[in-house]
Amino acid sequence: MKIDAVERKCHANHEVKCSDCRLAAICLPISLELEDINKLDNIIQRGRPVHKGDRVYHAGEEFKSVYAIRSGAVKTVRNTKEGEEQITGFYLPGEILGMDGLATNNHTNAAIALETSAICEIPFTRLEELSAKLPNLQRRFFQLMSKEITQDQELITLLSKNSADQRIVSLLLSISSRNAQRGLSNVDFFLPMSRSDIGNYLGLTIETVSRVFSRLHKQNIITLDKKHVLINDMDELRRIVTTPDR
Amino acid sequence: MKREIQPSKVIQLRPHLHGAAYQSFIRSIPFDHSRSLNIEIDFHQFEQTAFIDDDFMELLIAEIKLWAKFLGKRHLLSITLNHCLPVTPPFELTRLMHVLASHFHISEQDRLFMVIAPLDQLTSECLALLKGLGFNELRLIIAPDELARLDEIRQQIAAIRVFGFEKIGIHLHPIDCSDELSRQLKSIKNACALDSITLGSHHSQLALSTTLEEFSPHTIRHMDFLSLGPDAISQIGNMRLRNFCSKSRYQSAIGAGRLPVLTG
Repeated sequence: MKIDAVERKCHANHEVKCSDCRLAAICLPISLELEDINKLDNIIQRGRPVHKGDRVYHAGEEFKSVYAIRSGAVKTVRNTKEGEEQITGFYLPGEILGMDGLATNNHTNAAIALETSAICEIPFTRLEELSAKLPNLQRRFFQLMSKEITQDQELITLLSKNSADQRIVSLLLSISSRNAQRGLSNVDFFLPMSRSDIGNYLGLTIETVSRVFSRLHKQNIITLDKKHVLINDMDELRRIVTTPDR
Repeated sequence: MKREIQPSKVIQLRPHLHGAAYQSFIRSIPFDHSRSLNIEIDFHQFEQTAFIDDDFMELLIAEIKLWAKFLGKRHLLSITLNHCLPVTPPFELTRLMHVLASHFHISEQDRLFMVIAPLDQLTSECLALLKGLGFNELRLIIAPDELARLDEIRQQIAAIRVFGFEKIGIHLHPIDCSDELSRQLKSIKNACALDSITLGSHHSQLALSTTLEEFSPHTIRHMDFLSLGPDAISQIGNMRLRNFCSKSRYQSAIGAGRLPVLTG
């Protein structure tokens, strides 16, 4: 499939609407329940700004909240047994992070802003209190968390089992489909992370990441200008991922 | 099993205790907050005692909270969920793990979180969730007659391996005839590169024996074993405690804020 020029509408610094956020299943019922909508701000700390390199939460910190990204991007990082830093995920506007603390009550990762970002925070204790008033809230919360945990893990698994080309293309396709889910262009976007971060996340050297990107660019499958990605041939990208032993 | 647990204190069954008598019974349980804890939940037992309904997870969570009050916020070394699929929907499994994590200390490194489940129940979605919830070991239940389809099992186990569980073993059950067993075990061990194979015992005994295999005798001496749910048997210090097996007694004890154990 060659990409139509009409679809090429790039969003470099997008702020997601509450209705497009994955936390909407939690926030919206709360806001409907509240007589005074301003009270929502007392429960959900909306749009807290964090700057590039700032930590949203630290590894080892007690699990108290889940977070949604309103704008910007965040990476999650853990230290390996060898003391090295391993990136475990990238989170984009409308996505939720912090679930790594749910099953151990402590965050196993640190979350670091990749660029200036606005973060919403829902304190878990407030959710528990509200569950008495909103009986389905807790159920919805754990349903959402299960889905998020499953999707995160499926992506990690997908990215770990393939060749370098397939890993990089899988990441591009993942970002593309995540953009589409929140109403953004799935073919024209900015990568908020560095090549080095991509290499760390996918278990590849920075040279390999650059080489694969260059090859995809030369083959006109994508057009790459620094962090700006334009997908020219989505079908070919999908074929790369599904072709065995590539 | 490296070491068999023999209770040094056996007490006679008595009627259900209330009030001061119950309190006195509770005081007789040797709660030692320095001992680490192993938790096992046999969902098969819930099914057998016809407990599986909309409320069973509420009861289970209430039981965890009750025990946590007496046991204190201990170091939780292992969690074994036996036959939790498909009776527990994903969100309930997530909630259960959160309740355990918020009532006990869970270490990132030093832990054994195991699921024992029939191989055909482990979908990729379910495996991703289990991995994401911190489970690091799987014990797959396979009937010996299924070993005839070795290639298929090998492929299924290979698909499970990509999720990165630290250990994968199989549990052959039930064992009615052992004529072909030795040959079959050799084939499956070679074909699937398994970490362990266990045979035939009841699943709840399997959970205990697996936990005992994983830890040194020194560590085991400083552990308590808590089993949750109807008819579950726990070992706290030198005392063995059995939960009620009847739904009404189990429910009413938990409803009244009492441990659902036979007080005698």
